[in-house]
Amino acid sequence: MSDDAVLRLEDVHFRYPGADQAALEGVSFSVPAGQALGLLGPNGAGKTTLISLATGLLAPQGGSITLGGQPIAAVRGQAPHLVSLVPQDNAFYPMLTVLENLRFFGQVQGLGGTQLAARAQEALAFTQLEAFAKRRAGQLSGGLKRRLNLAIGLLADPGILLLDEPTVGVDPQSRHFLLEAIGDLQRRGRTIVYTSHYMDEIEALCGHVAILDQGRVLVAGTLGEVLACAPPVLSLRLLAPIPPALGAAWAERHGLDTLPGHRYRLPGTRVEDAPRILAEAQAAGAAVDAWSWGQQHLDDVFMQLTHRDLRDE
Amino acid sequence: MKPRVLTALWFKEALALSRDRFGLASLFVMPAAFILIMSLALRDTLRSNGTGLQLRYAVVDLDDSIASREMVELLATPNFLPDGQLNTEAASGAAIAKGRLPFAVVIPKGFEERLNAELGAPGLVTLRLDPTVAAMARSAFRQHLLGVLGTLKARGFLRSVDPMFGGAAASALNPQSLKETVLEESVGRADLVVPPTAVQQNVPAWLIFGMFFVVMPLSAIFITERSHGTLQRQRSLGLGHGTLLLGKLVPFMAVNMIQTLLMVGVGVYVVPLLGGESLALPPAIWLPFAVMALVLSLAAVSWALLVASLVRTTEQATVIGGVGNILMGALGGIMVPRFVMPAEMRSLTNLSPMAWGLDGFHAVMLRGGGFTGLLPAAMRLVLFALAALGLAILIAKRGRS
Repeated sequence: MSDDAVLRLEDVHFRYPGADQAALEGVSFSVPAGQALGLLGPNGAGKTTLISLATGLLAPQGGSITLGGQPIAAVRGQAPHLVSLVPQDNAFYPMLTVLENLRFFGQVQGLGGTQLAARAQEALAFTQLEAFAKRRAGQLSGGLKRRLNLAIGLLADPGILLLDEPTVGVDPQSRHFLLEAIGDLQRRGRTIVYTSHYMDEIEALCGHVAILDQGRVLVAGTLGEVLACAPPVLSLRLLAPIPPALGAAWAERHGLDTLPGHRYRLPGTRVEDAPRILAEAQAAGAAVDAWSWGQQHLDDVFMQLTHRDLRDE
Repeated sequence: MKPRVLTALWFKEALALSRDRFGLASLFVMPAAFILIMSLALRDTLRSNGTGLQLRYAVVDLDDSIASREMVELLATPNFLPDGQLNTEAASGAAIAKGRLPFAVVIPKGFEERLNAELGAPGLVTLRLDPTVAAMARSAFRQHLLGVLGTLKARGFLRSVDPMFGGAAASALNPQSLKETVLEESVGRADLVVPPTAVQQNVPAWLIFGMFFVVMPLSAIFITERSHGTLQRQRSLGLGHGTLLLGKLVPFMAVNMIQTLLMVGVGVYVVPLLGGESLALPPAIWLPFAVMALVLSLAAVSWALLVASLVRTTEQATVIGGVGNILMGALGGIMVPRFVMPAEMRSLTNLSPMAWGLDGFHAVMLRGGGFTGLLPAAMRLVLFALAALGLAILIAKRGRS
C-alpha cells in the first residue's frame, strides 16, 4: 500500500441480505493520489459492489474505506462531490436534451448560475458534445451517449472518478476518443478507478491494477508487479500442428499451452532457451512461422490467477 | 434538502412529463372525456328536478272525446314528454318496435263512457311499452297514468255531484297540484348519500380517477430512472430517498391541481355546451373544494410513489397501477354511483380511497359541509398518504428501488 494513497480499502466485507456468499470478503487495496487503478474481475466478482461502497451507495459491514485518511462517510458529508461515479449504464434522462441533462445533474450537485453554465460548457467541450447540446439524449448514438455519461461525471470537478466500464458497446472511434479523454483526465491529476473487460484499455491507462474474483482480491499493485505474477513466456506459431513427440518433450520440460491456430506457449523458459527450442522445432520438422519471448499480458495473468476468461459469466 | 436541488428535481419532472404524450393524455384527456360522456349519458337519469326521469311517449286517441283530450293534456308534464299523437294502435307498435319511442298510451273507443260508468274498469287504457325499458321507468309511467286517471275520475265526480263545483274546482284538480300538497324538506345528514346530478357526480368522480392515474407516468419515469441507472447516479451524488420522493411528490401534485382546474372547467363550461347541466360551484365552496383536491392529490401521488417503488416493468405498472385504479374506481363509486348500489355493496365502497375522496367532494358540493364536512374523508386520505409514503421510503431504503 502506498503512503500517498487517496482511496484506501482495508479488510472490507459486504454480504447482500439473503445471499449465501459474501460479495466482498477481506478486500484491501489502495489507489495513490493522481494515479489510475484498473479494477479487473469477471462478472459477479464484486466490482460493482466495491464501486457502490466507494460512492456511499452501500455501507461496508466490516473493514474500512478511507479517503485521504478520513472515513469515507465523513468525507462525503463535507465534500459530497469529491468522488464521482460514471456508471456502466447511460445514467441520464433520454427525454431531456444533452444540455438539460448537464444542467440538471449540475444543479443537484449544488451548482448554479454562471458556475453551472461554465461547468456545463467545459464538460461539453471536453467531451466534444457542443454540436449536440440541444439534441435529446435518447437520440444520440451509442458513442455520444457514453460521452454524455462521462461529461455528467465531470460536472462537479471531482477529485476521484470511478469509471464503471465506460467503453462498453461503443464503436472503435468513440472508444479511442474516450480513452484519450480519460488519459487526459489522469494527466491533469485526477485519481481514477477504472473497471473494464478490455485488458488493453487497462494496460494503456492504468499504472495500478487490482484483480478481484469471487469477492476477494487475488493480486493488487503496480501494473509491473501484477504482470510479474506470471513468468515470461516463449510464444510460437507453427505452420502445422506440432509433432506429438516434440510436444510431449516440451510439455515435460517447460509446460506447454496449446492455443488455436497452431499457437503454442512455453511458460517456463528463459530468453537464453529460445535458440535451442527453435533448433529443436526445426529438427523435428515443425516450421516456425513467428515467435516471441517476453512478459505475459494482463489477460494471461488474469487467466492464470482465476482460471477463467474475463468475459465468462 | 437544498432548495436548489428540489427545484432542479421538480423542473426535471416537469420537462420529462411534458414530453410524455401518452402520460399527458391519460392525465388530462381521459378524465375530461369521461366527464363529458358520463355527464351526458346520465343527464336524464340523474336530473336535478326531483324524479330524475324524463320519459317520452305517444298517444293513440281512438275515443276523441272531452275526457280523452283532457287525459292527453294531463299526461304531459316536465318529466313525461309527449312525442306526438298516432292514429292507430299499429303505428304505435311500429314506433316502439323501431326503438323510436319507449311508451305509447292507447285510449280506446268508448273510454269516456267507461270512465264515467265504472270504477276501476279493467283495460280502460292500454300502456304499450318497449320491453327493454327499465322496471323503474315502467313503474313510474304506470303510477303517472294511474294518477291522471284518478284525477279524471275525481273531476267527473265533482262535475256530477254539484254543478257549483263543475268549473274552476274541477279543472284546478290535477296531478301536479296534488303533488304540491306534500312539502319536501332535505335534512342534512352526513351519513346519508344525497343523490347528485350527473355533472355533480361525474366531475369529482372522474377528477379523482384522473388524479390517481398519475401512477402511470410516475411509474414510467421511475422505471426509466432505474433501468438507466439515473436513480443510482443521483443517490451516489448524495440525494436521499426522501429528497428523491419529494422531488416527484410536488410536481405530480401540481399536475393534479391543473387537472382539477381543467375538469371543473369542463363541468362548468363544456358540459352545458353539449346539452348537459352546468356544474354549480358557488365561490363560498371554492376554498374547501381546493383543500379537498389537495388532500386527495397527496393521497393519489403517495399511492403512485408506492406502486412505482414496487414495480420493475411497464407491464407490472399497468397491472398494479392501471388495473388497481380501475378496481378502486369500480368499488369506490366512480363508475357506478354509490347511491344506486345495494346497501351491502355501498358499505364495501368504504374500502376504496377513491370513495373517501368522493365523500369529501360531495360533503362540500352537495351538503355545504365546508371544512368540517370534509374532515372525516380528509383525515382518512391523509393517513392513507402517510402510510403509502412511509412504505415507499421503506422499500427504497431496503434497496428494492
